[in-house]
Amino acid sequence: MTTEPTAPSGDKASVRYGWPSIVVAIVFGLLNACVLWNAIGNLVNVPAGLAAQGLASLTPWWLLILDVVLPVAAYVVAFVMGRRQTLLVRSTFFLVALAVVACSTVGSIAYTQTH
Amino acid sequence: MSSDDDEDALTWAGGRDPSHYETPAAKPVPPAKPAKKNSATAPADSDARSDAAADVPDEDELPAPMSSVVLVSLGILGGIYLLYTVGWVVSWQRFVYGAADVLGLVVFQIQQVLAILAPPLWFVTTILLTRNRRPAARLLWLLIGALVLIPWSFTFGR
Repeated sequence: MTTEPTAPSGDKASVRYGWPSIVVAIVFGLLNACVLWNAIGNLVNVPAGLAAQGLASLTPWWLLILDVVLPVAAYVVAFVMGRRQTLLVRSTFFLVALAVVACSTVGSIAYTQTH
Repeated sequence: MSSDDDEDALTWAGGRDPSHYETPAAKPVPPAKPAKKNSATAPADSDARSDAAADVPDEDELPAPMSSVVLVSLGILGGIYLLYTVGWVVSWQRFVYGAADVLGLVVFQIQQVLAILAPPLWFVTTILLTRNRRPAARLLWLLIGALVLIPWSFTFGR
């Protein structure tokens, strides 16, 4: 009688999306949502402020829209890439995504200060 | 006495050097020898032999050595990521964010720290997670990071 070779039990458990992974996804989702909230606030307030000063033509629309799109895109990419990974790798992906978003935010604030 | 001198002229001086050490030539691992010739233990011997053969790594299973081109490329990209980190540190010192509320200021400072950590994070993560991937894939991911993490705020210098 032959027995089927069984896969290591750790593989299946680590790939499954358990509650620790859900907690990590929610925490990083909230952090990205915080950045997104600020970006939406800028998208609404900055054009209005510039228009009040008669500088509506200087509104950096591309930057304001990029700041709104990037947190969502980075979170989705990190979530999709981490689906078949361990919890540690998933968390690292979310952290790297948040760091990339931070780079964009700091860069966009520097741009608005200097242009 | 004189004959010894003649023989000395025909030999290398280092040949008698006590500190001279001849390294053994690399030999392939010999197959495991059967421990006993007893016919009763023959099945166990064959098992042991197959185990020993399994322990010797097959040449196909060994990871391919990293080519010098890939190694140099990784070094250059590592240098670029290091420069990016310095660029983000300089941009942190250069720009002052006048947030109206304390929360906004704290969030911005956390983001500045994250921006400084982003290049080393991306580099280390890519190097560790693409160990078993093709060199082209490793370099591609590092190139994507080098495009995404450019310290724009550093280039907007005053």
